[in-house]
Amino acid sequence: MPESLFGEDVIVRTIARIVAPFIQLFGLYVLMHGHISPGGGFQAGVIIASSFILLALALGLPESKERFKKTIRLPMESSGPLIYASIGVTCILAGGYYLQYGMAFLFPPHVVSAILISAVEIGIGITVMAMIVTIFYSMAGD
Amino acid sequence: MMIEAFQLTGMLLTLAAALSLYRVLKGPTIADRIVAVNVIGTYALVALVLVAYISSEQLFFIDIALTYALLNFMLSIVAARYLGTGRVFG
Repeated sequence: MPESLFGEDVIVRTIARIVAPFIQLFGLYVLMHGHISPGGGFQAGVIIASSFILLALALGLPESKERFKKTIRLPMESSGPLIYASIGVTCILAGGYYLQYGMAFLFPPHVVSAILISAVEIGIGITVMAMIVTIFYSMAGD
Repeated sequence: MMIEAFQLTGMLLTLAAALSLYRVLKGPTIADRIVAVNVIGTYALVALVLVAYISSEQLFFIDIALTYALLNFMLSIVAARYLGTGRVFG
């Protein structure tokens, strides 16, 4: 079995390194436009994670794990629920229910609602992205 | 007139995808099945862009077509790696 096919092919390496930033940019687009078009935090997280899976396929598993270390992935997995829960509790402190965005503090209610929905989506996206990359690395042989 | 032409094209693409579904179900080797799934994905991609053009209210079909293209690209790489070496990771 030729070992040179694992992470050494020039065409696959070059195309993956060119395409991966655009995939991540598309994932950010899906993340920030989730409230007016199909998509949202979960879908954007999966798209961004797929760019890391593509890099792992093209560059080989050890090199891609070197670029996205476990010490970075673990805090990212945990920070998403933290953002979600802290925004929910902030809505309680502002006088509403859990995750009731429309309470007016500092800004008019619709502005607060838009900002907090985007922040919750960003938290979900971070968690899903790190989680799916971790699951993929585990399945590929950690 | 262009709308009708695109509608006809979409119907023919759907028919072609249905024809390649036969190769997915029947294909003797695994390479036949993988390439047939890839062809179906390409047809679905073009059909999604046509839907976005025909019903010009729903431009978000372009986004779904982009995601389809991304998944097809990764499927091609994984299939080529698997068919070439027998494994995905060494």
